[in-house]
Amino acid sequence: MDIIAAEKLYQNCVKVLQENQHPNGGFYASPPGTRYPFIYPRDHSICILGAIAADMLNEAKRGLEFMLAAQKPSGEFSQRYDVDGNDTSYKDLQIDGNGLVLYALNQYLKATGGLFFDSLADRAFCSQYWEVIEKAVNFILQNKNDEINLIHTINSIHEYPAYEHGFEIYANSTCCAGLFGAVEIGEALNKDVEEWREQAELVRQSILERLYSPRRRSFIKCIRVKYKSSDPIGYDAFASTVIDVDAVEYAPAHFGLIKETDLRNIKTVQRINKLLWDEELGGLNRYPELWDRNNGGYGPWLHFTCQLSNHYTAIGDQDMADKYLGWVVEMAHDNLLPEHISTVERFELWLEDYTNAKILRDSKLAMIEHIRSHPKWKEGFAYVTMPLIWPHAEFIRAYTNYKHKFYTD
Amino acid sequence: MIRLGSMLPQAFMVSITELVKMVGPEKTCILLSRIGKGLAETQGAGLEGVPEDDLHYLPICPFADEIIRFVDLFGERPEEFQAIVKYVNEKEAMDKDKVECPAMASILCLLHNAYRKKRAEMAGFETLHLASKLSIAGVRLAYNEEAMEKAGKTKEDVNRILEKGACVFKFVKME
Repeated sequence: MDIIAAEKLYQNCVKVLQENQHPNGGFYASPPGTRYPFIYPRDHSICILGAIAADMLNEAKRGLEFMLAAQKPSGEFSQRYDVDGNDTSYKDLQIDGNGLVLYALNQYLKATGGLFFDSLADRAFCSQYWEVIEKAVNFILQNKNDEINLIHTINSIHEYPAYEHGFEIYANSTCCAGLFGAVEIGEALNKDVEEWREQAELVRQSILERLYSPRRRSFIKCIRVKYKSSDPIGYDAFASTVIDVDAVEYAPAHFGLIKETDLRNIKTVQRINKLLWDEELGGLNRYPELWDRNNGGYGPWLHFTCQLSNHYTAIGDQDMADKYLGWVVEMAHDNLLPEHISTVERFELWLEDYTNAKILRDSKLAMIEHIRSHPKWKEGFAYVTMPLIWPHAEFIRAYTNYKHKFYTD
Repeated sequence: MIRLGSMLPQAFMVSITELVKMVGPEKTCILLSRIGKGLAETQGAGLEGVPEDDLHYLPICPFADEIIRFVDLFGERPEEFQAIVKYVNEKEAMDKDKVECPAMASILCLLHNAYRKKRAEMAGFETLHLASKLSIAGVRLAYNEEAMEKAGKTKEDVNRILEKGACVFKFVKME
């Protein structure tokens, strides 16, 4: 990897994070005037984690203040908010947001304490929002099915119910990590959180048993079940499993539920790398092409590529970490990162599919215009949603891990 | 057994027709609005729709499919629904605050606008419901002329958005 180019990209990613935090604390998903000028709890939480990795703890705190104040009466964090914290969502439940907010809050608490946790950790901040934390935990547990001990959702990271409605791996990993995060926060505040710990452990065990396929040697994407309370779930109208490869099948290790070196994770990552690494463009696709929900054309996503690089960094495989992170560095344009990258040919194929199916809508027409007018179009690339803030935060996290692992000395 | 579970929205529509027979359109309208407000309180502050200039619109009506199913099952526009529409139109004609009323393309606009309005109110916004449409042949577009005037919009402005949407409204920040 070109380390000088990587360093420049890192510096600009930090700048992008700073410039895209609204004075009210919310991190835009994409800058004002572009495709996603809203605050999405999923993207926002990763931006908070990016800010923590870059030692921007004030920015992380402001981000948390924004989101914790925007919680719905039910304890849910919505799909998205405007800069004033008003719910502007238009999609059904995506419960991973609840897990991510709790996880990010605990990471913030730990970062403020550092090596002197007892004396320095920002307990006062967590104490101020304890009621919000309780409601967020209770909302997750309300959506837990007690027959299978997994959390039910309609959407998850891809906002794609066709493959995510039910007990999905990313939603369950984030919620489980969020529950454990809330347990750690509670312990720091001397609260009784034993019941939460038991529930979190039940979910963790169930992820390892129900969402892992020993014969495939991989975690799987989803147990599709329509209703959270179907009992028994075998009779649910959707009852089936999604066994296709998905980049987020790495989530159990990514969120610390199992070790990076756990054989189940090693084998899962091997499958992801084998089936989703893009042989033409490089980089990691998010799911198989045939799911055909490939806005702007099928192709690799920058933030999933960054995410998986963390595995190779963690196990000390610098060649593979270089391959993944080096690709992100090469794809940056003016030190900015898009959501994903496709080719002109794939873009046209997607456009034909969506035009024939009559499912193009206004926002996609604007996206098409932006893709065609981007300088990379003339080089044969479709840069889709440029810039998206999420991959900048993800690069900060991944590159920080990489430097600590391989360049500490 | 299975199909009955998925028919709950239709059961709700049937209950509206029965309620009109039992207590009349006035109390049914009150009930629909209360349901909207009650649901809004469970969801908290929020602004619905896609922003376009200084207006918002919904690309599709969340109730359209169920209303069309109901019409398919029970026949076009049962007289109880028409009684509600007639009652609301007459009430609105005498209402000095007509600007506050929904532009009613179907009876569920009452519920929906109460929901949208309450959530916006919790966020500190007043709601003007300018127009709505329902994708059933022969059903007229519904406009709230007073709301359009207050929003400073013409029917042409609103129609342009209705070409790609089901419902047009404006949120105005309260002082």
